[in-house]
Amino acid sequence: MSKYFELKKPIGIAAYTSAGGPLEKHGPIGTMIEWTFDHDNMNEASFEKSEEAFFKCVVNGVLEKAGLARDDIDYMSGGDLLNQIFSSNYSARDLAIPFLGVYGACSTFAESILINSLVLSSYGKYAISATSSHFSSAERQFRYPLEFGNQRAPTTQWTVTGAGSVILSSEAKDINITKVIIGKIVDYEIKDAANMGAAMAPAACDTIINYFSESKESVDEYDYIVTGDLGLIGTDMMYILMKRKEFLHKAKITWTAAYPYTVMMKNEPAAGLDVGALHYICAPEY
Amino acid sequence: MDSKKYNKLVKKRNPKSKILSNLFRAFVVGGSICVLAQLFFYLLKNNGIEVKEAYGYTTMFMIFVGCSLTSFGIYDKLGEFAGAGSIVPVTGFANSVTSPAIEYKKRRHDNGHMRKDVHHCRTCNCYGYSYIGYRRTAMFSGNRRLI
Repeated sequence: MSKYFELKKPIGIAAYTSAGGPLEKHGPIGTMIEWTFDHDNMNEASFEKSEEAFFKCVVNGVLEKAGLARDDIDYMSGGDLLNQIFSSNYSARDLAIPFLGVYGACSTFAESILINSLVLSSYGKYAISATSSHFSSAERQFRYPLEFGNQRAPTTQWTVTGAGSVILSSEAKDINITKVIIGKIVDYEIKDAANMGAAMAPAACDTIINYFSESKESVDEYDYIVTGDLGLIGTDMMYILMKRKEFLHKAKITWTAAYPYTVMMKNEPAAGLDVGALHYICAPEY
Repeated sequence: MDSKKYNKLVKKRNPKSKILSNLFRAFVVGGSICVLAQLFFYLLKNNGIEVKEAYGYTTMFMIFVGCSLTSFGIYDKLGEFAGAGSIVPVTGFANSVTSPAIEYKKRRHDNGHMRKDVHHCRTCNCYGYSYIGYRRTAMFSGNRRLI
């Protein structure tokens, strides 16, 4: 069984912000993203550097929003999809905030919030969780070169170009983190590299069901259950799995990943995914 | 539920590729590429170049076309539309060599020549001296994204 932790005190979310590229800007949640840019290269020499620019943008933005200086922050944790999470590392170098690198691919943002809230419940006052992702740099990292002329499979997901960050505070605020659960890796041996949603769905399903069975809470107490980057196909698979385990609250479960694109990318049925998507939980009014 | 069952279920639920329309597109685009090569071949032949030599020149020309289109950022769009139609002809192989080279250049390690090309190269027989030519084309095309 997965372990579930009740934090010693509620960890407040002091401020949050998100940034997005041109595709996200014109997507269904484009108006909710605070920082949107018309060019995904951010006038930088490479896509990796522009990812770094996205990262810095959200960290500076969230500091400004919370009215805090960099020195007030005890540490920052976060990551991205690249080798040695270097976009975040270089950003942390320039921002000069103590940095804890986290790599969880699609789960990076949730993982970093989890670690921060566990730490803050005992030590420190403020911590930043931030992640960034970039379609063009992730594509080259995991799939094919951008200029490679291949057809995308209908199940392929699309990496979000953008970033998101929150400042967690050890004092309670309007929105608080009270409980966290660390999920197991549940592998049903999906061998199709173009179908990450279906590969991740069993783990998401397992974690959600475990949480409710461990904490003995009823689903009715919750307004929303938000999953990260399952995309349309992954969410569909998750519903099916939950149905089989006789746990179905379809109306309550929403997923951040499909939203940035669902409407506009009709030829990409699997829609959005990847670390990025979960940044948009930071979009106000999401 | 075990993994076998789950895999079956995923296969059943997932959206399928549109085979008919994909076939048609591949046929049209792949056919046009072949027609272009054939035309170039006849052009050479009618201008008094021997048939054996003309074959070689035609292949080189098609590799050049593939690499140039890749460098200008056209071939990936064509590939997305045509699928196998643009991958199977020699232009597709040229594309699969050029695209990692461009990628490598973007990382600013050096000017990209023949470093990471084999990475995605499914055949090395299209390696040729014309390679240097299309790299230059990419560099002088003035498109910052490509270079």
